[in-house]
Amino acid sequence: MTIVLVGLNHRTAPVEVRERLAFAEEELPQALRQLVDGTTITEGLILSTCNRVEVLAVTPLAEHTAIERIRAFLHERRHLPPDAYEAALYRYVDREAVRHLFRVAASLDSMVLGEPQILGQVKEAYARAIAAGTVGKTLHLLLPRAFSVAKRVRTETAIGTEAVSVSSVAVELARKIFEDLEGKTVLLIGAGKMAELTVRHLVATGVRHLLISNRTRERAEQLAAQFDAEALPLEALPIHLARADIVICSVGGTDYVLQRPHVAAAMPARRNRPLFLIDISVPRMIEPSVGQLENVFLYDIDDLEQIVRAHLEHRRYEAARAEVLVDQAVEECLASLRRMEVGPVIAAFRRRLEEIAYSELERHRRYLGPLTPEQERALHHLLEGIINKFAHPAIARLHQAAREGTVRPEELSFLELWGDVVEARERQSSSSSE
Amino acid sequence: MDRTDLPLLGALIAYLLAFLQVVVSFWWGEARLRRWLVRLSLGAGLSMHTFWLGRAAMQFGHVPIISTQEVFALLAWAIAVYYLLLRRTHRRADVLGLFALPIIALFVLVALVSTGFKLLPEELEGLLRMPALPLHIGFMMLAYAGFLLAFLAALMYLLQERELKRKRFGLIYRYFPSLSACEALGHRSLLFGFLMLTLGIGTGIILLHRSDPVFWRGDPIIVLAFITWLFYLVVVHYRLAAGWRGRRAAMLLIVGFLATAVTFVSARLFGHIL
Repeated sequence: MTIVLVGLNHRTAPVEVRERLAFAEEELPQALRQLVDGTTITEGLILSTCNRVEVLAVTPLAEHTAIERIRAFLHERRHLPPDAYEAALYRYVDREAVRHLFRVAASLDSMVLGEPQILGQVKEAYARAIAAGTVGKTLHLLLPRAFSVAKRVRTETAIGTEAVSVSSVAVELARKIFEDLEGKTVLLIGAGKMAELTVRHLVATGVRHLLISNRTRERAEQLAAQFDAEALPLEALPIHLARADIVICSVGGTDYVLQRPHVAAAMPARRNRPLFLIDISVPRMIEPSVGQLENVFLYDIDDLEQIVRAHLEHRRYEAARAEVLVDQAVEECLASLRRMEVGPVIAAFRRRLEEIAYSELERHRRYLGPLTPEQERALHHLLEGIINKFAHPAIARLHQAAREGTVRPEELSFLELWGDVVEARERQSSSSSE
Repeated sequence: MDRTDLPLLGALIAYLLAFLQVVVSFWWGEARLRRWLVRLSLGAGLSMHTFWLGRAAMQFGHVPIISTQEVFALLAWAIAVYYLLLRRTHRRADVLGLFALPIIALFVLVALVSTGFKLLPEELEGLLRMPALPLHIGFMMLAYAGFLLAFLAALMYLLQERELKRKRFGLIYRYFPSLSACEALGHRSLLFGFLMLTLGIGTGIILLHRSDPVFWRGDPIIVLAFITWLFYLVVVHYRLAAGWRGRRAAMLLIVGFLATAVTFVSARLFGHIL
């Protein structure tokens, strides 16, 4: 049994290629059933997101046959000339395939390292494959392992802890000043998209009081109604500034809407409690020297973007720690896979030996005459002893090979074959004796 | 150091372990297990520490406050007690341990290596046996501990504030508590320290009243203590009544602590008991 993974992602292929190869949700069941033909490919899963299209498959045959089959499948489904995407395809086998799957689930292969959506997408792909009936015991082992390593990465490294978007960085900064945003008052100046997004973030973290001010009164009132906020005219800003703990400014114009004297005048009324100002407008609409005032913290769009970059840097550092966790999980998973592979063979082999021994016993029982319970027990011990001594070297060898990852396919098939042959002969002899 | 100091050595090791755990949490984020380990190490250290102090008190029949060794051991003990208390009441007190625990450990170390020798003037005997003395000394030590942690919290406030103002977001930004958490830790410690100082001075007045005026007539230390108290009274008043916060309030905590430290050190230098 071999695991192969063929696919492309945001790093190997541009969006024009990715979008043409992507699978729509509604075509997935049919595509999955087409992919998994039961002979070349016995289990399959398709992960199709905006950043990647990947086919994960399990095959009983050699890997290149399966890879060929997947390529043919992509070609058939997409009617794309192969050279349009061929160069972008990566192919992973066994250990590498498992590692890639784990890295994807743990968001180590994502465009934004550590972004949390990908795990949900992998789970979705798994659920769809289960629904289409293309998941067998191998993928049933593999995918839950991928989810658990993703969870470990999330809890044991800081890969997903820091904000990497401008609006979430603004919230993080607010938390570094106020700790708890509950009960804080936010003043929104302007009604841009970014400002609205930031306000949404803040409201989600517990901000209750919201003041909204805009050049056009209607837009302010419209937003105010949406957020259950208070609308203010732009001219009234200096008066209401003292009420605000957090000010988000995203407004157009030529003159500063908040000048240094305004802010300086508001501070005594705030009893010098910190005031957090975010100016995401370009050109800047809060006088930059306001940031020099005591207990006033002013950030512009560049400052926020600088934090975003620093956090991405930190995520890369944490990702290196996550790779260690992934490597460990890959080895554990491969060991489980091998155990899963040899387990049934060993069991069948032993069962077969027992069947032979006991059927022979039954055949010769009539020559033995009536047996006492002690004799009966001695006979069982005799047979079990012979079976164990006979089977032990082969079973021990297989267990060891499974532990060390050196199972040779011919050994496995020999034992399987042996079981089958005996079974066949048994059937023959029983039918002829009747 | 001799065999009787073994509990103190044990306490030192336990405090260092607690410090190590805090450093690890600082780097790797605080897990519940680590939080619990810090509490365990602190508790173990404090038990051994208390045992050592108790035995010293029994042995000499008075508060262990005479030799250098005893003074440092007692100070470290008060800081450890207050730090543990603060950890139980404020969830961001853990980072303070980054500074408080090395100080505790350092004081215990100084106690371990310094002499237990004490010069005890006969006139002091009476004072040492007064029942109000342990109370007075306990209050004063806890006051110092409170002011020390208020000082450390203010220091963290200023460091975090500088980071936020300069927009250089490094380790301090990432791992130190928010401004308002530093503020709350400092505020709480200040109030605690001030309460203890008030009680300490109160019991001190009783002691002065009952003891031979020969010791304390014209003692600059008593004047200094009152000045310290007045200073903190003003700070507490402005914080409670006028809601003073922010950078300057943090700086006042730092100045106040330094003044207290001067009072204390000079008290020791001139051989007085405070």
